[in-house]
Amino acid sequence: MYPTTKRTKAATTMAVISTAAILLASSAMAAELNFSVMESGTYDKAAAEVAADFKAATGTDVQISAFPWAVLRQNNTTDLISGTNQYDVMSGGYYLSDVYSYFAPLDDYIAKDNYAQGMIPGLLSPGRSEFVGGKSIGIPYGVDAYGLIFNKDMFEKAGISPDFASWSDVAAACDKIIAANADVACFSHPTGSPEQIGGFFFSGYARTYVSKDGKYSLDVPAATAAAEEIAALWKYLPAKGTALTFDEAHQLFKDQKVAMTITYPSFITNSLDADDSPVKGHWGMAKFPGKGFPWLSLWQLFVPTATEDKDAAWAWIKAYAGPENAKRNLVEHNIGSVWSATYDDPELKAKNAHFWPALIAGFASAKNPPLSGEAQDLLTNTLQDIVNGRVSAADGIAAVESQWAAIPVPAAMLEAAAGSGLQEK
Amino acid sequence: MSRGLGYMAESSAKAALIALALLVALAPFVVLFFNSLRPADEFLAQGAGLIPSRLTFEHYAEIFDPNGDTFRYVINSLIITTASTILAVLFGALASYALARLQLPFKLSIIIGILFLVIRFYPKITVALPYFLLMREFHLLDTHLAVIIAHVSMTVPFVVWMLLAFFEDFPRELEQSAMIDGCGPIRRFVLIVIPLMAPALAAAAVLTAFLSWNEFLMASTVAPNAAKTLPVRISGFITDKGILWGSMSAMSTVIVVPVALFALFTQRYLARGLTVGAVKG
Amino acid sequence: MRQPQPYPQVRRPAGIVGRLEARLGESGILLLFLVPALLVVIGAQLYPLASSAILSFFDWSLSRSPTVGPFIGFDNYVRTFTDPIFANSVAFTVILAVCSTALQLVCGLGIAMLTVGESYTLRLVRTLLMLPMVVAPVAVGTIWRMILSARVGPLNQALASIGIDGPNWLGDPNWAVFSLIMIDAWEWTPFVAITLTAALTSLPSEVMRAASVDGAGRWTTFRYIVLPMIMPIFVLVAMFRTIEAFLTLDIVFTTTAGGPGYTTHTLSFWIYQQGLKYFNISYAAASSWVMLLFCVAIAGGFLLWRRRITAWQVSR
Repeated sequence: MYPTTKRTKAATTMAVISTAAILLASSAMAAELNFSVMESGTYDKAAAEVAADFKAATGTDVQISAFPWAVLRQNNTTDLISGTNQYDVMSGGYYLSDVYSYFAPLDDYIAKDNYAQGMIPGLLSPGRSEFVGGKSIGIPYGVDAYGLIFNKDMFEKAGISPDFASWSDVAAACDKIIAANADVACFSHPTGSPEQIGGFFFSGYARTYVSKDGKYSLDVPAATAAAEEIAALWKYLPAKGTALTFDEAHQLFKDQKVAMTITYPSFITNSLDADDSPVKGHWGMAKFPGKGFPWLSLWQLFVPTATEDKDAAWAWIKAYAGPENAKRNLVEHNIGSVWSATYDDPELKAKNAHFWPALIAGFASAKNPPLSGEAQDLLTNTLQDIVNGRVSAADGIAAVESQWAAIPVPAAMLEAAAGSGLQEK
Repeated sequence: MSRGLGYMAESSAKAALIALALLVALAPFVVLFFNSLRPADEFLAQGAGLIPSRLTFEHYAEIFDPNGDTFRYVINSLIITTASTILAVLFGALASYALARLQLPFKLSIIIGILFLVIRFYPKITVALPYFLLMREFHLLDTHLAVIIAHVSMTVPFVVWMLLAFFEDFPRELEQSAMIDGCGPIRRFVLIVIPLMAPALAAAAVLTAFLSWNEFLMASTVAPNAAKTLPVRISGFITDKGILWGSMSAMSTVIVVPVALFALFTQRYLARGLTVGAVKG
Repeated sequence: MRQPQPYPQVRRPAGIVGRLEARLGESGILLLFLVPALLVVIGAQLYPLASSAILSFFDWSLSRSPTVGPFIGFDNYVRTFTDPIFANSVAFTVILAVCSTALQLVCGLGIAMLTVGESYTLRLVRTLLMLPMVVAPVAVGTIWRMILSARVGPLNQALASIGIDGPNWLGDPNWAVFSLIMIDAWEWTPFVAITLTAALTSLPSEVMRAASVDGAGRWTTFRYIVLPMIMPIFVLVAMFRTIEAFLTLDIVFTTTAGGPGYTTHTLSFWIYQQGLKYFNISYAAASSWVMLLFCVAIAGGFLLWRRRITAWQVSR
């Protein structure tokens, strides 16, 4: 009606828009990135170090939210499905498969920077790193694979070589070890972490986990045989050793109370080679037994689709997971480097000659089972019931098989199963 | 003579039984306290005695690291407990007074009373998820308010039930004479009921404070991070790698000591609060 | 309760309060008093409760979809009743609730009989005995996990020093069940003791005097006079404890995490896993409603029992 009013209105609108733009710009300048990571005294400490450098270099302030594993998993999941979107970059692994659809594909970034070049071959592929709809969503930064660590002296005394084809071979060796070494149990394992028993199953069972028609399913006879093998092996644990924490299991090996420990090597190798370690120079690592695969632990970084500044998120990923800091992260925090070059470092190679060959061979064959958290818990809890004699291997595996039918396979896991040869053909 | 001997034998048997009960009840706390002062490397050593080889404050230093978050959790717990207690007792006192005095149709008072009783007794896990979703709707996730509302809603029924039992004994004559003087319910409540009910309110407050300080499920559901409370923090010491026994013991001591002291000082109110529901209900 | 005292002199209607009282009237104000409590209870308890009842008839797993899926009738309930892990959890929960409650009632009654009285020492003893129940259940779990650690825990070390090879408390399935019963009983016996002490204190003094008289009549007095008199409270306490044992979650979390295997999954723990770990929201809702109705039935049973006892006493 009145031109003046109209103009005022337009001016006001302009002012509002420009103010908003300035606010947005300034918020982008004082960039802040929230990063969730495991509270382990390694990943989180390394993140704090890298974050300090990162701020100096880019001005971006990285807030680190560190949680123990189970809490981290739940917080990440809750954050995504509740739309809270608190974390711009998340740490996780395949157990986040339920929420993969909330993560942004990173293929363009990987291609742009030719990021995969120099990474351990095959690490950035389905069944190892995480994919959804054929697109890469997880960038690996810490690799580990289940290992069999043994006491050289005890093996020598028993006259056995640490070259086992199966867990039955290990059980057979246990008899000799116990006979030759007084007051020594055969092996220790973090039996108190219920999911860890999966490490034995995944390596002892060499068949598929997903049926042709895309349902969770085991080859029942093979799985039963694998479960029986584990149950037989369990008799060789130390007395009252069925609920050990990682620390307890490792301490038993360090104190020379057991001849072997079956665990994630990155948790223990540094401490075994410490100057005050009684087993320093007396231990080695063997090829992991079984025709299946050693369980892979691959920490990856994920960017939720809700993250606003994906460029900043990618910059942080490159800083934290990239090759520049890989050696420091390995030496100081024992974070398994995902970069081949680290393992060619002559100094480290010489120092770690007693276990690196087996470790690197493990990295090459290790995989993750294509299981959702629910499916995996059902399997590992049932295995616990089997080894504790609450249910027979046959009945337990049959129960898993029938209950798995009701658990849907997340789309991403179906892809992973197909990609890693763990789906029935 | 024989009777005297019998009496002595009996009273020493009684004393022995009481001592045994005390030992069973208190020994775990002693273990906890010593473990909070035990050097980290001794936790996994077989043959370590009850008393550590040397005492160390490293775990306390660690959890109270100035860069750490323990202070924040303590403050969160204090804020949440204080606010929940005040609100629960206030709301509960108002509601129970109204229920005791109102002549509601259709036995509505009884229905509301039973409703409150039921809330005490269903699995809280039933509401944890819907409550989480509700808080998401209101964008209250991970705030003090989310936990406070949860705790108030859990404890108000408790307070109402408890105070109703007290109101049964409450002398109506006092109020009646005030009514004749023209006092409405607000003034009667503030000037007569509150002062006379002070011991009962204190009992309700003490009990609410304990429940809120110790509550785990709802707090862990809606406040995983910024508004995290002490009980939720403790569960975090069980990591995938092991259990940080030292820090966990130190943190548990931090959470137990205030409650234990509080219990000692408020014993009368606490006992009254705990028993009134059963004894009078 | 204090003796009635003269109420303070208050001035006649004046100010906002007076006008408010006049405008809304007696019932109006009292109804207003009800509002905050009802609001918070309805908003934060009954609404979520109702919404979980509705959700239990739909198919919804938050991890698969951010929105509620189709209506599936009673499928979630059918799944609940055919789920072997649910059945396993029910079995363990019942064992835990029954054994632990029985233990608490026996020990609690014993402690109440031993410590009833008003002397300073007895009061102090009662306060100290109360400590297990006032500390956070989460902390209770962590303390006991430490004590029961099979290889390095203080309990087994103490047993070893007297020549006993202690069991694998939390690692052996049978011992794990036993351990959780003991922990729950340790934590909650004080509640039973305090309540029964109060009940004994409220008995007429002649009864207590008769009960403390030495000799053969004593058991008879306890059995035929004291016990019947405290029976209504005893039943109520049993009800509180049984139901709360059903809800056990925190100590399971911090001691066994439901293990070994599925051995010590309580109902609450299993529903927690379904709801907050796997995000099977509608299934968790159905399971928790089954549990809720079960708890209500138990409470109802106890209350009926109590009513019969009271009626019988009155009729005598």
